[in-house]
This record gives sequence, C-alpha cells and structure tokens, in this order.
Amino acid sequence: MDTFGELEQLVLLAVMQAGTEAYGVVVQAAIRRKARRDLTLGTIYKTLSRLEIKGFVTSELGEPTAERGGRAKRYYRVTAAGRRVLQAQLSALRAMASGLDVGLGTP
Amino acid sequence: MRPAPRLVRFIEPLIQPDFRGAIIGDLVERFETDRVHRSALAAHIRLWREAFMALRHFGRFPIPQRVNPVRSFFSDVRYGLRVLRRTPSFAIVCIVTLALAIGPTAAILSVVDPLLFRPLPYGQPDRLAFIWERGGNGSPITTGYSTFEDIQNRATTLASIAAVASWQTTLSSAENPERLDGARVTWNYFRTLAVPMALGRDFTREEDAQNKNTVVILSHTLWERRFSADSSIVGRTISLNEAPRTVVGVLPQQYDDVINPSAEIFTPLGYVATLPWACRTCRHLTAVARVRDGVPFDRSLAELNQLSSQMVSAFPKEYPAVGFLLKPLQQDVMRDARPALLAILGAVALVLLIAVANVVNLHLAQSIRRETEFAVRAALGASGGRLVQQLVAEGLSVALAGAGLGLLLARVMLPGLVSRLPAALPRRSAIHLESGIVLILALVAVAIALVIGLVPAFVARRRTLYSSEMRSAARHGTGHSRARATLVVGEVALALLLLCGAGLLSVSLVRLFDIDRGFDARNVVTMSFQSSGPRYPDNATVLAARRRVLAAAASVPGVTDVAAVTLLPLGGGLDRYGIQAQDKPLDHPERAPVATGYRVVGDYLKTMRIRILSGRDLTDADARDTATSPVVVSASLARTLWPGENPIDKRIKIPNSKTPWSTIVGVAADVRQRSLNDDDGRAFYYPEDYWIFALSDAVLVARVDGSPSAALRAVRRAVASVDPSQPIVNARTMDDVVSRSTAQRQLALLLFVAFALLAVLLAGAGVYGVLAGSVSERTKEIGVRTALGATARDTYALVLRRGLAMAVLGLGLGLAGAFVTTRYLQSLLFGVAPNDPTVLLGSAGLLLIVSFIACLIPARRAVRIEPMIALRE
Repeated sequence: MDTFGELEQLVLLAVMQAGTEAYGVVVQAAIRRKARRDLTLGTIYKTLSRLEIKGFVTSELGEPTAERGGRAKRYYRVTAAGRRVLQAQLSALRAMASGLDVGLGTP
Repeated sequence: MRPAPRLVRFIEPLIQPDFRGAIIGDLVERFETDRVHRSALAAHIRLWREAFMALRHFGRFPIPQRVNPVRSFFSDVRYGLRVLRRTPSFAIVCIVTLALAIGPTAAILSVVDPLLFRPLPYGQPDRLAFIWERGGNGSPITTGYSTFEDIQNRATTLASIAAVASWQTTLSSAENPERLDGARVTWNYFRTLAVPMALGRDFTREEDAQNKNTVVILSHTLWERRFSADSSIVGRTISLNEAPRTVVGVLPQQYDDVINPSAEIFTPLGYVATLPWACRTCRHLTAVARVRDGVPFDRSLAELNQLSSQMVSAFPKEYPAVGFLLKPLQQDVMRDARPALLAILGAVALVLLIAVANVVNLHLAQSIRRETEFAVRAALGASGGRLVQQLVAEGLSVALAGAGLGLLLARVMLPGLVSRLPAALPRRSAIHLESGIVLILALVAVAIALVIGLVPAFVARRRTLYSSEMRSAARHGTGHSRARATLVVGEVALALLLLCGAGLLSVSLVRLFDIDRGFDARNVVTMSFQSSGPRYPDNATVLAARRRVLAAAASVPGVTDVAAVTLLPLGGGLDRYGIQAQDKPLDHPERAPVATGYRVVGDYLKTMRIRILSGRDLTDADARDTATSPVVVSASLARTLWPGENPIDKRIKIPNSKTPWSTIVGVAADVRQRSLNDDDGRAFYYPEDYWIFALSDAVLVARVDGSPSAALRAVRRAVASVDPSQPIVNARTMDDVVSRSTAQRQLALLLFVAFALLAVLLAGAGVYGVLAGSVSERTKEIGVRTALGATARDTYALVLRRGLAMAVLGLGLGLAGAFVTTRYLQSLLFGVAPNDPTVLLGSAGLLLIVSFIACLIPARRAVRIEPMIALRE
C-alpha cells in the first residue's frame, strides 16, 4: 500500500484545488497561500514527476502562450488511484486526531 | 512581452527537454508576477533561487545533492589551515617564497602603472600631444615663440596649444631663501591640460604680456611646504628674486607637471612675436596641444605639416627641415624610461613564475607524503573534484598569506625604489600601492592557488591510471617526480634568463664607468649658486659677485683650483648652439653643426682636468679681450668644422645671433656631456664676460686635496658667506654627479641582480628538493644497490646524473630563451652585445655550479644510506 509524504500530500491537494488550471505557478501559489509553504517550482515539478511515475497524477501539455515566451504549460490532474490513496491517508489522519485536544479539531 | 531575463536564457538549454517548456515558462511567469506585485529586487532574488533549484532537479548536468559548495569550501580552508599548522616549516617556506616574489611584483607594478599605463592627471589626456619641430636629422626639437604663434593662429585641428619653458627663481626670504624650479607658461597652459585650480583662479589672457606677468600659480606641495597650506595666500604678494609677485591660484594636489617634473611655481610667459627672444630660431619653448575631439592625430599632423611648409618657404633660413612631429603626451614623456621599466616588469614576472613553480613543487612533494590521507578520503567517498577543491582551498590559504606578506614587503620597498628613480622622471608623486594593484595581486594569488591545487591533482589522477596495485618502490611517485623535474627544468631556464640580464647590465655599467669621460671627477666638489635680484642689475655686478664667490671658495684650505661654469657635463642640462666657421660659408644657418657652449669664469678646464690637446687654456686676460674674444673648442668640434686642418686662430660664431666672431686659441679633449654613453663631445668654452648677458645662475667647481665629501661643507659655507640671501643647491661631489647620471641603469641593475639572486636561490632549492625527494623515495633501491656492491662513487653518479641532467636541460632551454629575450635590454646595454657569449655562458656556468652544489647534499645523503637499515624498513 502506497502512502504519500507530506510534500506529496501538499502538492496533490494543491493540484486538486487548482482544478483545470493545475500547472506549476498555480500549484505553487496555492501551497503558498493555503499552507504557507514557500516551495520552488523545481521542487514541485520534481514531486509531480515522481507522482506521475507512480500513476497518481497524469499530465498533458497545453498550447504555447505568448506571456510565457512561447512556452507550453504542463497541466496536471490527480488520477483515481491518487485520489483513493489520499482519501485513505487523510481519513486515517483524521481518525487519529479525533478526540485529542491538540487544537486540531475535526472538519 | 519583454524578453526573458538573461539568466533564464542561460539556463534554458541546461534543463531536461521534457520539462524545459513547463519549468522555464513558469519561471518567466513567476518572475513577471513578482515584478508587478512585489519588487524588481525580490523578483530577481526569487528567480536566482528558482533557477538554482530547477537546475538541481531538472538540470542535464546534475548539481551534487546536499553539498553546499560554498560552505564546504570554507571548511576546506579551515582544514587547510590546520594542515599547514601541522607542518609549519612547509607553510613558512611556501609563504615566504611567494611573498619574496609578490612583494617586488607589487612594488614594481606600483611604479610602472602610473608611469606607463595610468592616464595622466589631466582632462581627456589622450587628446594631448607635444608638437616638436623637425630637426635636420628628423629628430624632435623645441620651438620658438613666433612659430608657436603661427600654429596657434592657423591650426584648425587643435582645440588649443600652449607653450612652456623651464624657469628657476628664488623665493626670497630673510632667513630661508629657496631656489625653486618652475615654469613659464602661456596663459592657456592649464586650460589646455584641462586642469582646474584647487584654489583661486587660472591666469588670464591679459596677464600673459610683458610687464603684466607679475602673477604666479603655486603647486600644491609648494603651498603646503612654504605657506602652511594657508588658503588666504590667494591674492597675497610673495617675493621672487626680491621682486613682488601676486599669487592668483594653487594647483590641485594630484596635479603633476610631466613636462617639468620638478616645477613648483608657474608664471605667464609674457611674450609677443616682436620680442628679440621670441624669434623663430629662439627655440626654447615646448609646445603642447590638445587635438580637437574626433580629429585623428594623423589629420592634425597633416595640417601642421602643411603649415610648416608655408613657414619654411616664408623663412627658409630659420628652419632646419620641413614638418612637425605630433607625439601623444604620455608616450613621449616616457619614451626614454619605457624600455627599462618594461624590462624590469618582465624580470619581476619571471621571478613570480619561478616562485610559483617552486611552491607547486613543494606541494607536489607534500602530496606524496599525504597519499594515505587522500586514499582514506577517497575510500570514504570523496570524489576527485572534492579532493581538488580541498587542495585549492589549501593553496588559497598559502597564496593569500604569501600575498599579504608580499604586500607588506612592497610597502617597505616602495619608498627606496622611488628614491632611486632617475630625478628627471615625472609622475613620481603618483607612485603608491594602489587598491587596484592590491586587487590584481589578490587575483594573482587566486590563480596561484588554482595552480597549486590543480597540478598535484592532475598528476595524481594521471598516476591512478597506472593502477593502484603497482605500488612498488620503482613505480612509486613516477608521475610526481616527472612533473617536479619538469618544473625544476623550467625554473633553471627562467633563472638563467634573469642571470644573463643581470650579467649584461653589470658588464654595461662597468664598461660605462670605465670609459674615458674626458674629465677627472675625483676630488671635485660642485654646487649651484646664483646672483639674482635687484642688487645684481647688470652683467658687471653679476660677474663681480661670481668672482667674489670664486675667491671665497679658493680661500678654503685644501682647495687647489676653482672655476664657475654655466653647466656641468653629465649634470642633466645642455646648452646647444649651431656653430659657423668663418672660412666655411654655411648654406643654411639652421643646419650648422651643433655644440654645447660652456661659459666659464676662472680655470675651468684646469679644475676639471680636461686636457688641452693643442694651443692654450683660457686665461683671466681673455675675459677682457673683446677684440679677438678667445675661445677653446673640443677636438670633435674642431674635426667637424675643419677635418684635417689646424683649427688654431680660425674664427667661429653662433649664426643668427649678436655674438661676436671668436678666435680659437686652444683645442680641448672631448668630454661626455649628455650621458656617459653619448659620445657627442662637440663643445666650446669661452669667458662668460663677453656673452650678451651673464646668467644669474652658475655652477661652482672646486678641486680639493683629500676627501671631497669632507671639503664640501667648508666650500659651501664659504660660498654662502658671499651673499647669504642667495640659496645654494645641488652641493655634491662630481663623482656623485656622474653616478646620478646613470640612475636608471643603476636601478635596473640593482633590481636585476636582486631578482637574479632570488631566482638562482629558488632554482637551486628546486633542484635540491627534487633530488632529496627522489633519494628518500629510492632509499630501498639505493640500499639494494649498495648491498650488491655499488661504491660511493656509483651512488654519487646515480644522484648527480639525474640532478645535472635537469640542470643542463634547463640551462639549454634558458640559453635559447636568452638569445631571444636579451635584446629587449638593448637600450640599457653599453659596450656589450645582447648575446655576448662570455656573459651568457658565464651565467650558465654560475648556475651550473649552484645546481651542482644543490645536487651534492642529497647525493651525500644517498651515499650514507646503510643497506641493512634501508632494507629492513
């Protein structure tokens, strides 16, 4: 059974947050805004490519755009397998945290 | 859309192709967003971080993970310092070797830089040039005021042109009269040089007129020295030659007059073309011009030459040749010193190379000793690059320490070096250990560190190809010893170059002092004195004062002969005139043979022991004989005017002048006048009394019994007693005058000898080091040989053969190099060819002896090896 590291969780969640616009800068901005973590693009892409090899995300190239100097974006999407492992892991976390007075609460 | 930042374009091809578009595109997007929403600086800092991480994760040439190269470098430096502390003698030898080379390098660079390379301290100095007239043989000569004025009025390619003449004056003061060197300049001189005043104002056009030129500008040093840097000096009146002069300005501190390096005070020239001394042949002015911006010097020269041909056709008798010379200021000022300075710079560079070779050599030897340490580090996972980094860091500690010590050494050396520079050299005040030079040397130190680190690493890496199993004594260190031998061969070759240079220069100086200079400098004292100011209004009073000075000097006990003369041979000045013979009509007065005129009072030729070859010496009675006006000429002047004839009773005169026809009463031997190596001995001697005007300045020469340096003070006191208000300068022995005339050669010789000694010492140490290393590596082998019956003689031969082979190879290469390079010393040589076989082979022989001695010590150690002990180890 696969599990995700913290970095992988953050990136996967950020990809899901970004919906159809999930590419490097957007993922990076989501993590910075919500998780207050300042990751570099290199780190994010490294994580994404690792997840892609394991089959938890897929990617496709978009059209080249002018504001990027004619370079294409690479859009990511979380696969069903990715979603499943993430759900299992998060619910395990939630279960472990419930009833503890450590300021985590339950969503 | 603006173009991507340069950094992005640089790293783009380095990113793996699959992710290139995605990552680089994101980088650009992020950068643009940051620039809008944050700041340009924040955007750039972010970009660098992103670029670094992108390269680390997706670079095609991965950056090693988890190693911060900067942090590990500092830890290497710390480790290097620890290693050095463990082997202090090794560290000290390396550091001192480098310091001994870097110190002189810094000092010489500090001298050479302002003289040859740094721009002169004027506005846009590259537009400034001298304008010389063309002499009969094409050489540059000074110009007369009328010619200057023609150029000023007619040349369109010049932004301005100024004229300057040297000037001596006396700063009168009851307790401390001082002789000052200065210059008389046209009003626009400082404007032409584009030098603003530090205080007060520049001269005005109105002040550059006869009787109005009663204003002066002071140099910064004079202002500080005599007027305590008092800024109220502007507008005040000072007394020069006991006449009032108004100070209008003070020059800035960095101002340096390259035309009259010793000038401290300036006054307007005050000429108009109608004055008798403003004529075309009154060539005592130096013209300096600023060529208009954008006008090539060629075009300006073409215009000047056109002007010249117009002038020559209007005044054909007043110009020796058609044409001007337009010479860039800095190059022309330094034309005499340049070859010597470059030769010295080359010499110090050789010393630096030898020192670096020696230090690399020491490190190679050291790295053999540290082989186990490196093997352990490699086994624990240190990559080759990591080990190199370690060695470079250690090298850096050594090189920077050497550079630091060297800079201290340079600070100590520099004042001595400056004091030995020829007095006529300008820009001496600009010679300092500048931060730019410190920076250059820091870079040199870094380069040395790289060499120190990379050479042993390269040698070590090559050696691993031999396979690490082959660790037998014979194989051990083959790569090292070959590299070390190569370095030593190079050191010997370079040392030989320096030794040849030193040899050639010392032979030159010996030959130079050996030549017959035509006078006897021993036991002669000289000093300049004067009779100027309102109390000496005319020739009669000046000459009467001069005779009083001679009488006072003659009364000093021990003084046997005295005379006064207008200039000293080898004293730095020359007073040259064209000479016309009465019986040889001149077709062109400006192409008359030129001779130096000495105006004398008293027994000058006798005092200087200048031989009379025929006829008689001048006497006191001659001074009053204005009808025949007797004159003595030198042998070479007589030969030039009347080859093969008897010159006695012939008559000569200076063409285009009001001087009378003079009758030759004697012929004197030639003397060296301009310099010891200049054999133009044409001269004439005549009584000062019947020259148009008596110079207020004269040089006293007195021959004494016994030590001249002891008599100097007594004579000086006697001269001063005649008129204490008149300063006395340059009181020295004639031997000192002669010696000073060779200051440039002496300095070059001193430096070459010092450098050559250092180089020979280092090369010897190199030879010794390599042999000592190889003997200790081969201890076992030599032990076996001895056990098998090798005699002491065989062992000596074994070691010496290897050492002398290196030396001989180095000497061969060095001789070949010497044949090519010694000609750069040509301008400093005298009486010896650059390829003089005696000097070259002698130098090689000396170096061979040194190498032999360096071989003997390790050879003796090899002979003493006890076979039993060696084999048991």
